[in-house]
Amino acid sequence: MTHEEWQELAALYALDALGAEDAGRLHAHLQTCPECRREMASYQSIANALLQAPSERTPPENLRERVIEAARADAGPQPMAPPGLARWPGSARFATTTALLLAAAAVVLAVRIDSQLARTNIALRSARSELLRAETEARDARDELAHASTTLAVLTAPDVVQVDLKGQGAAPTASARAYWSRSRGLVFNASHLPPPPRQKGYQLWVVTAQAPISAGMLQTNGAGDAAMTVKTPLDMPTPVAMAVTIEPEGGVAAPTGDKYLIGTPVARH
Amino acid sequence: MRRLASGEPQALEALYDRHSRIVFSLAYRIVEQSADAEDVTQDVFTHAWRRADQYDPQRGSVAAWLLVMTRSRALDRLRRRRSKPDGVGVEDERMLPLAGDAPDYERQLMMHAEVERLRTALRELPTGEREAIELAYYSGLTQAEIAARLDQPLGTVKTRVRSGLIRLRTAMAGVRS
Repeated sequence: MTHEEWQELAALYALDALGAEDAGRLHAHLQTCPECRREMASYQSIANALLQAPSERTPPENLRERVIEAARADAGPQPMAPPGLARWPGSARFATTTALLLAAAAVVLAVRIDSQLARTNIALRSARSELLRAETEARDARDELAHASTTLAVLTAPDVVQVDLKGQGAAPTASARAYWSRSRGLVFNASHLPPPPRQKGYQLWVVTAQAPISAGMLQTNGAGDAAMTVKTPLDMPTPVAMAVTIEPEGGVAAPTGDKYLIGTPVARH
Repeated sequence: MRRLASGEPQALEALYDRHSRIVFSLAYRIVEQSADAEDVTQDVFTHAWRRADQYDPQRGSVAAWLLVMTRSRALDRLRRRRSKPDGVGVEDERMLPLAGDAPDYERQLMMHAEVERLRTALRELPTGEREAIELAYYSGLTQAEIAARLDQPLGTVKTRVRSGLIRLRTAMAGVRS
């Protein structure tokens, strides 16, 4: 495909009009093509601007009261949830766009906002994001430690079984490897999974002779990598295969969606 | 937002007074009727009130956060409405901009002159390009659905969406630099 064709997909993606399969291919191409990444960033910037393009309409008078009452009837703000920062890694590649936007933002601030208020807000924002970052890092470190110690236990288990999973049609470049030990649990690592479609996620299945058993939903990072360690029941039948399918966000009891990764146990030597 | 997150009622009122117009306007553009647009607006502000902690200032202005939320909720409503009458729900296989390449709401709100310039540029696009962009972004159609609706080959739709966005980008370039 030419850059122009990739950029046509990027334009559709920026407007949310691209199907999952094309988006997966585009995602893989963007990993290796700075030129198309820049184009994509500029399309997304225009798409964001389009949110403001509809002609203005004044909401009906009584809506204000309705909204405020509805919010009051509600329990009020919920306690601070874990920050979603991990899901939104840096937009460093959009540095140019960001620089332009920051310049525009500076003008907006200077002209429109009372400067004292602006200073206070900025200080608050930066303090808050520092805190979120610190919390995220602490949680990541703890998770990594737990992940590492389970991994070690599984890898060194005498009964360890290895499963190599290959990417399927929707994600040809994806791959994964799993180690399973009846006594110690399951360690799973995947790479290059495309971003899941909206309101969907990847579910990991341990396929036994009786039925596929869900091992849970995978959380992918920006690069499409996912890692998981789980305890498996001691009486679980020996896996004959493992698979990753695309399913509704909360997961399902039995696989329904497309298979993204499949593999069978590697023969023991 | 800090005040909102800590639950001060005046903070919600201030937020509503400042942003309800752009939220309602976008919702109306998508759902194309007042009752639904009002519901979406209520939904967006109630959610912002309840989940102010989800707002990440690193990712952009509050208004942009509200607008991203508005579009997604308005489209949900539109799709529900569309799938109801004939009972045929269309499986939505589209991607949300996700981790890694999502500037999402990074942009600050545009100033009035800039908004006007974008509106003019959109109006002046060749009809085919404007229709394709609007059906994708404001009606939530996939590329295949757009092609069917406009009775055009898929390739034409792809080309038009991209060239339309490039035209808009060119029109906006002068403003921001």
